[in-house]
Amino acid sequence: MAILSFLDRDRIIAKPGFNRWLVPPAALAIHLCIGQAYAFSVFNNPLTKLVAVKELAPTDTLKLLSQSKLVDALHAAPTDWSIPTIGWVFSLAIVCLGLSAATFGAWLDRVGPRKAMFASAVCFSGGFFVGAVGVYYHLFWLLLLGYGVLGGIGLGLGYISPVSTLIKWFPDKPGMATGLAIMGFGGGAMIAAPLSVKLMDVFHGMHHGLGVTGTFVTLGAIYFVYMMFGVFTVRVPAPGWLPAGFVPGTQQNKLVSSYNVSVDNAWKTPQFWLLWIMLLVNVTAGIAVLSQASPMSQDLFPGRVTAVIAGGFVGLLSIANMAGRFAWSSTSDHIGRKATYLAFFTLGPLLYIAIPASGRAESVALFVVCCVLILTMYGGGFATIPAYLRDLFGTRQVGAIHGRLLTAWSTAGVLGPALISYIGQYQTRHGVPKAQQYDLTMYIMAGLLVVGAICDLMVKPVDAKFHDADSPVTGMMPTQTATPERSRG
Amino acid sequence: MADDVRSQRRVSSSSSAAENSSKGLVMLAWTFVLVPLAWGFTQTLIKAAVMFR
Repeated sequence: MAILSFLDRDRIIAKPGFNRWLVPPAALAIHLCIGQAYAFSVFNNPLTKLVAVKELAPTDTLKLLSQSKLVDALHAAPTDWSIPTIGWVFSLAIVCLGLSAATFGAWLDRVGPRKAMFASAVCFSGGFFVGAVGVYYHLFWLLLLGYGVLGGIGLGLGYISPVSTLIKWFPDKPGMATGLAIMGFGGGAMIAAPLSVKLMDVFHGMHHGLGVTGTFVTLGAIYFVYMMFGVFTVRVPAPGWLPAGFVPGTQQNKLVSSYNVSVDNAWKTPQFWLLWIMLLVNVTAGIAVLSQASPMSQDLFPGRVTAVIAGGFVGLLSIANMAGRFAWSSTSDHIGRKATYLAFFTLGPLLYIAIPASGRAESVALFVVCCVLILTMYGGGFATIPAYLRDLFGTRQVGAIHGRLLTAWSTAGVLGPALISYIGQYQTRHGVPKAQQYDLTMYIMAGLLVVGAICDLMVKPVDAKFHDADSPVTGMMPTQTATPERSRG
Repeated sequence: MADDVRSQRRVSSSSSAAENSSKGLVMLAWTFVLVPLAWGFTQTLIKAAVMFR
């Protein structure tokens, strides 16, 4: 459509003199919004009390709609939703994140980031609006369809578009660049959680559903406007562009490829699947701590850690998660991706094993330090993986390859909580005291990280048979002139 | 090959100048994203501070 031609890739090629430091804020604007997903749990309790407060009758025009026969027919949810039921909304959103990133990654690389970011904004905000209608009429399938499916698609598109763009703008420091964007995903939850609570206070009593409906609509509108800043600010580098002083092909790390690998070929390499497993175990292990942080701290230190203190502890972990994204991925530019992941997978098991030990030693400080470090590595794993992919597969289709790799996140998002829940139930059945129930979980997670370490050690440069025939030097655009390939260490 | 290298140097030189261009716009863009992030960070820090009371 001509009216949407401003979204086309050729309209966003940076003109000479464009400052590349404008691109990270564009990326952050998207990630700060979609990072809201991590704060969805603030809606858990209000969403379980919608029917109980039904006497707060609709007061706006939607009331008229509710009087129609069609809506009455669909308005058949006599009981409140349970917390596990609501948990499916977030899980479905994460599954759709991975699936949409995998499905639309190649499209994104073709049409450019502006169009993909615009589509992300429409889907993510649209998910809130559809979800609001679902909450209003207490239709769980509509909430799933809105926030879970539509919002999840927005998450996937919004997650990979800025990352692949930044990798192309910062070939000299890809870890730092992707860390900046993905740090925004962690930071987005920090903004969304208190903002949502304040909005629910504002809308409480004004609208049906403890203010959730009004909050969803408001968040959808705010996020759409904010994401438009990213949409209109983002640019792609012109063919031939290179940052000042950067000479491609001089990296000493032999894992940094000088060749591009297409998404269809990357899929067939062992390196892709090794990284897939590494992301899977890192996320699964992180979820084990993140999802249990509050009850675990109270169970390991009864009488010393109250529910209020545990809430503060979860806040501290959010900060660690965000900080780790930037710190670890920036560090990876200096020590290499393989060494960074090896740090996660060797230090990590020791920290997981130390958690039960901290409970037995009654050392709250040790427990806090372990969890904080684990969360930095959880975030760091997300932020470092795009740069690892770029090292192995080049920049040409890194967005599409990253998208496919994110299916590991989706898998962990479903399997991780299920595994933790199963381990907990198994131990309860066998009469294991509450405070000791975390031991086995942490030992299993430590074991998973050792598997990750083995995978990381197995990562070798991609076989030449997978390289694109017209492969340019890493960090350069497909059509630019490049210096001849040089071999390195 | 020498032409290619000279061409690259020209591109690098122009991008060096670009790094210093539009500084006001860059500052504005960063402010736009960092202010809400700082607000969220502060809110979370206040929540986390309960641990140390």
